[in-house]
Amino acid sequence: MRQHSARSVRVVSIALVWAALVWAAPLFAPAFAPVLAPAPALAEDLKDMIYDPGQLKPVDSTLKVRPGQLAPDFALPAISGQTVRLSDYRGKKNVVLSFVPAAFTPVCSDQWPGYKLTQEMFEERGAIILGISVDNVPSLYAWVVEMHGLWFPVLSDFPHGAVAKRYGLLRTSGTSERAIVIIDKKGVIRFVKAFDINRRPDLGVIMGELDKLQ
Amino acid sequence: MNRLTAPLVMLLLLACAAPALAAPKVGDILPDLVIKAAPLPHEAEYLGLPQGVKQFRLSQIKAEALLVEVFSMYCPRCQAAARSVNQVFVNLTKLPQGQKLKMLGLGAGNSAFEVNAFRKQFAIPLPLFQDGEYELHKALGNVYTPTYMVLKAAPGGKGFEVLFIQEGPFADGEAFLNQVLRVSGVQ
Repeated sequence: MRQHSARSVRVVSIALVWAALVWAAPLFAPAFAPVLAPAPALAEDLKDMIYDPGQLKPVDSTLKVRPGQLAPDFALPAISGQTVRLSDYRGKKNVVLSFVPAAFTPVCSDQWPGYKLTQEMFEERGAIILGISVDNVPSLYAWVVEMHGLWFPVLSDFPHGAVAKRYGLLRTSGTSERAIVIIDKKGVIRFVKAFDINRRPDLGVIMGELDKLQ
Repeated sequence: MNRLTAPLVMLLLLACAAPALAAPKVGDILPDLVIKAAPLPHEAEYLGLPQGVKQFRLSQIKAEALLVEVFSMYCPRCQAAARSVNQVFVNLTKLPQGQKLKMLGLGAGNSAFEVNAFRKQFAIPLPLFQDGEYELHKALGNVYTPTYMVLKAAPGGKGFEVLFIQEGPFADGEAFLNQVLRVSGVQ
């Protein structure tokens, strides 16, 4: 009986410690973050339609380009069926390259709809967005349809993320970073940053950088 | 204690831990949230807050109950619902109960710039506040967007009781407002 009692106390103690750890983990151990960190606010209509990869390493690559240098040119297939070349915009538009990691994932699935809402803000600043992901064209097409269309070209950097790699924005997983590259009308990089993959880049930062080009 | 005791205790304690990460239910008590954002002058006036205040607690709002919208500028359904929410606000403020049930929106993961963009795009008349670091969103149970909650101060200043919660947009603004008024109990 006494043996049973001692064992019960031990079990209850372990359980209490475990529960305390579950509650307190966010305060003490960033390592617990993948399990316990709050998910980004997910749009209700997407909750059954997307794959949630959980919290990922914020940045997993090293930039190979910097502000002041000519942006490496590229040509990528768009979901429209056309091929889009960066240099086509030279002398015409400021270009915002919006690299996103993957279609049908939580943060990406609301980042671009936000840019849809703020089309006027980009246009007022003489800017076009080129959305880029390492997904293939059919996947990107289906994803954009799910988002009820976008006003800017969506480009596929499939299969190996060559453009992301050239810019130093390819993660070891093979997806791209969540990155913004702002290129002026002369084709010069004016801003480049790989943001925390788990968060949307603040629109205010992007607009602030575009304002510097005016 | 028998052999089932240990797993049962574990399950019980884990179940107790789970609500911290789940959407709240009617009857749950939420903390008296601190909104770390300065209301615009007309928002401060509507909410009964001192002009120039830089942050405030929900309990400082002069109201008997609150209708809180958790939204994101980036959420397509929040965008689609914005004009309907505006209309609910306009209709509510025309009613005598509009002085007792106050509305506000919390932009989950949105910066001040993003909240302003949302406000400007849809000419939103109700007070909107940024929650750039998801602090409020986490305290509200990581709900999907949009989510609508009616909150009422719990007795003894112990936070706010959830009287109503709806994850996802409402179909009929008039029916929604009637429902909100009914559950809030304001006369």
